Amino acid sequence: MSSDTKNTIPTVKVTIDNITIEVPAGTTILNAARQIGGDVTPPAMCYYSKLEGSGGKCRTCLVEVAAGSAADPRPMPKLVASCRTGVMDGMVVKNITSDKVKDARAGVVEFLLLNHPLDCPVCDQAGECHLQDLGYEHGKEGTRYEFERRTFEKEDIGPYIQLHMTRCILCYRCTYVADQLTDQRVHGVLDRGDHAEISTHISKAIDNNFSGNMIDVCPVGALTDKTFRFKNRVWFTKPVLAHRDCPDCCGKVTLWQRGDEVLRVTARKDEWGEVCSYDGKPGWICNTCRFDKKAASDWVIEGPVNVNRHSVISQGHYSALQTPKETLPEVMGGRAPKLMMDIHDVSEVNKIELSQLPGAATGSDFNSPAPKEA
Amino acid sequence: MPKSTDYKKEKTNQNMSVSFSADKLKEVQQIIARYPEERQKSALLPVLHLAQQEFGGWLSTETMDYVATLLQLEPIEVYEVATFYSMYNLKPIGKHLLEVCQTGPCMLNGSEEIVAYIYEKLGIRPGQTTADGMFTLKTVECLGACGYAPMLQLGKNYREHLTRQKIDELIASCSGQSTVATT
Amino acid sequence: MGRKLLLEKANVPGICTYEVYRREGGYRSVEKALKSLSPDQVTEEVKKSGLRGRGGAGFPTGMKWGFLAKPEGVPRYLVVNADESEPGTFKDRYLMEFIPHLLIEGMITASYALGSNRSYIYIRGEYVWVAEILERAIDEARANGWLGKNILGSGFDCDIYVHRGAGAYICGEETALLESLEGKRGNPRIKPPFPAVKGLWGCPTVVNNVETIAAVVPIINDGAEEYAKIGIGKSTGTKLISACGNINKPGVYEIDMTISVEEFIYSDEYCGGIPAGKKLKACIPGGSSVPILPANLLLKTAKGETRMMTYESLADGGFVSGSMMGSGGFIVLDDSQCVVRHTYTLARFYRHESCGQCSPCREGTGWMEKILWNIETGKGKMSDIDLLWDIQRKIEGNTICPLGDAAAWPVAAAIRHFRDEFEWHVLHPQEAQQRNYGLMHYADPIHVPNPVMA
Ligand SMILES: Cc1cc2nc3c(=O)[nH]c(=O)nc-3n(C[C@H](O)[C@H](O)[C@H](O)COP(=O)(O)O)c2cc1C
Ligand code: SF4
Ligand code: SF4
Ligand code: FES
Ligand code: FES
Repeated sequence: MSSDTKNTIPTVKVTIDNITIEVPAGTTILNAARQIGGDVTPPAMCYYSKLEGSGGKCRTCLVEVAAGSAADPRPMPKLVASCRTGVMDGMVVKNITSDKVKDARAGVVEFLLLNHPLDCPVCDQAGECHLQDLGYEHGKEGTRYEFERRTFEKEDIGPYIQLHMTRCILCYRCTYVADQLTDQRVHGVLDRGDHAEISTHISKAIDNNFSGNMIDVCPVGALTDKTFRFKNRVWFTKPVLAHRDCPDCCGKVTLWQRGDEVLRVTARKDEWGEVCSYDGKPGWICNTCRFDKKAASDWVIEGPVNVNRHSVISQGHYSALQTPKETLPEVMGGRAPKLMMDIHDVSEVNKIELSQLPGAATGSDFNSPAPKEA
Repeated sequence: MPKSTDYKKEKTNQNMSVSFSADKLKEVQQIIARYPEERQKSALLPVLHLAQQEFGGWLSTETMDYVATLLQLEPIEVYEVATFYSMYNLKPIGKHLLEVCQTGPCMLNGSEEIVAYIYEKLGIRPGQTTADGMFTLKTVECLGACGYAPMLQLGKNYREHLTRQKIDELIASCSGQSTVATT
Repeated sequence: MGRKLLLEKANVPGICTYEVYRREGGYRSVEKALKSLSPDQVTEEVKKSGLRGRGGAGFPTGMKWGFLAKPEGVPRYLVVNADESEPGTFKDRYLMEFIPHLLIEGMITASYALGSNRSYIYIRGEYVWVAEILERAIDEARANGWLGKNILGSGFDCDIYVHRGAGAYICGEETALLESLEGKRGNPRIKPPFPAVKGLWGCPTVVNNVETIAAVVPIINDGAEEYAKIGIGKSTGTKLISACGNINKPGVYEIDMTISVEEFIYSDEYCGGIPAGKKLKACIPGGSSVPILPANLLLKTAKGETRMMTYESLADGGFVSGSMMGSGGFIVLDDSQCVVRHTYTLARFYRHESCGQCSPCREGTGWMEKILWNIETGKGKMSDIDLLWDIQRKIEGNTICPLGDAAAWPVAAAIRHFRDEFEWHVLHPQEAQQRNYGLMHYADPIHVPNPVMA
């Protein structure tokens, strides 16, 4: 948008869960809801405001449009993805005030968790995983899925990043990072349907100074930092804000420390789990800051982080815990997390049974040498 | 145990140089010319068909990289596409590929018996290739020949209204002629 | 005998060649349009004809053309959808294989109306020989001055190219098709923007089915009013129906939309009845994604009226007791067939064809397939039937593209109308491996409540 039109953008009024707000025309329902904040904001697993083209895929942000606009107040026949639907003047949106939305969202959560390994006890993302949060907040019951879960092998994509595809929810965010932040994309989505996977195809290293941002945008523990030392559970580390004078990026980061040791460096995240912006520009950080600057002396420490609402760390338990424990309920403030505690034997994560499924030949069946029942 | 990641190993065409002849390069140029300037990515699907046909009936990593170079694409763009579409083979296949349709309308007319009969004749189940590398059997979804069921695709052609006798004939004719009888 | 507009000449020997096609009156519509009508007048004719899209959704074609954005200096495109992959559908193939010039002729006229100087036919990859037939026809048309620069001295330039897909049902969805034509994975786009505004390479684009574009030829030749006279109500013109499954004469039929479903199945002019003395059990009248109906509801609506082969009548009763015209893929099941097994093959199909972009479809289709396989092979539970219902309900309407709905509907309709057959599988797991449930009550006369006197 050029700056001269910026001032002339008209505003429109939209009502979300009975709260009316005025936003610039062209704003999406999701972003309007974010301006209201709180529970009115639909969860978003694939949309990322700093990545062009993202959104629309996970379907967690579905909302009901009870009235399309003042000019045409008819309701929309289907739930719509709030991250990709623009507001109209006089639009009336129902999020948590709609039973239809709650029902559909519980369905989406169940679908997303269907093939998820639920290996939270061994996952680096545990504690800051958006899927975990989503499961707690919008999931309904334990899984009704009685089949073995889909699994993939772990893959190193370069010296710094590990891909644990089994945990991926195919939000496509990391591919947008590669397209929009790096000069060459070497990973992408291979195969299709329920076999689709994020991969480099022939284990090529992702080697670009901004590739590490893929880790920060990944909503789950599919892309993780291999240099995260001691693979600590996040809630045993202490996040502090820090900065350095970096020639390549903004240099504004969060350091995850234990004592004086820097265990991990990430970009700073806002309350929606996205990288913070500075002067309207996303604060992506470079790989040097992220992977190489692991001494406290590399950084100017600013102070402790206010952990956002999206994180289980915000329950305030991490600082009280002295010794590592592998149980979640305690860090969950005594809430017994139903969905997440359905944790499978970890070794099961590496077993495959898809090929034994009866039915259609897929690309991978076809590549298998083993006999298959027709 | 087969994995869906199986095809990801680097693969090359043994004993075959992966580069188009001058004639085929001309064909590639003609394909590119079907699309407006700067849109040569659109040529990807047809050029992959051509490459598969030229380089042994399947797409090796080498072949896909070659196509990427030809069309000035990143290799990942080619892998993404090649793994999406079911007609691209990502592993070597037998000389004759029998693709039996198994969707509803064909099932109503006995496609399951056809698959069973091919097993009886050749000892291969869907996904397998005969030991002599002559036949690969694959089950596929609706090929748009539902009224002529049961049916299979053999190379470029459809074989329709299949019976045991027709399978016998088809196998005999493929086995008899060592030059490709499928096109 | 019904009136034929598209296939009338299909059996003329050599009609696939330019000489014969032209001798039989081919390309008249191009002459008429380019010499005597403005592009807007052609669009107006198509609007007046009442022609509805033959690809499945039945959207009025003239209206779709009217929506096409026409910004200055930006090319516009016509793309013909010849992906034809919906199980039960094989009509477009027939048309392209036997009278390819009819499609080319329709495309030139349509391209003229839309201002497309470069039009594409996106054909499913497996139809290798059909693509070759089309390319030959295009070459002939070009050689005879119907394509190229300044066609018939009208100042209109147009060329047509064939683009072969490579095996993906989802590329029939119009935005996935455009992605595929751009050389990408066939992931449907998130709408808006619609193709009419931002389609192929970001330019305004119209995507139409093969049969829709072919129908433009008789509309221009005979005039919209003549065309609109055929059929009933909003179902104007003729429709190609591809009939398959358990019938005596499977094949492609052109019907004027005035006959009943019963006539279509049993008359010798069309399907010729059910073979081997078996009885009609069920039918999917419009391609695998539309609801299956048991024999009684197929032949009569819930109101007890005769069901006709029209858009409206097939849809009478909504999804509760009706179905859809869809793509015209007419699949007939006789009394020896198993609805559970058939539904399983369809669920497998949709799982196989899901692009995998959005979670309800990616995960839900595979889940439904696995549960159906369990029920079919005697490992199902009663609760599985309700679970299936709940899964399809949570997919439907919540996905990016209609493939999610297309996967949900067949499962929903099978459970709605054949629940006792599903239950029988669960309760008699062993017996269900030996024999099928059979006809049971599915052809019994339906009870029509007495109309309340007004
Ligand atoms: C999953 C899916 C598959 C489709 N497949 C086809 C197809 O094979 N052929 C077709 O003409 N339309 C198909 N359609 C419909 C197209 O999206 C589009 O509506 C149609 O091509 C428009 O043409 P029409 O208005 O002439 O019918 C499909 C739609 C969906 C959602
Ligand atoms: S790896 Fe992470 S960021 Fe990439 S698609 Fe999967 S979940 Fe999304
Ligand atoms: S509904 Fe299915 S096919 Fe359509 S976009 Fe979603 S995953 Fe892809
Ligand atoms: S956030 Fe809107 S669909 Fe994923
Ligand atoms: S179902 Fe086999 S060709 Fe259509």
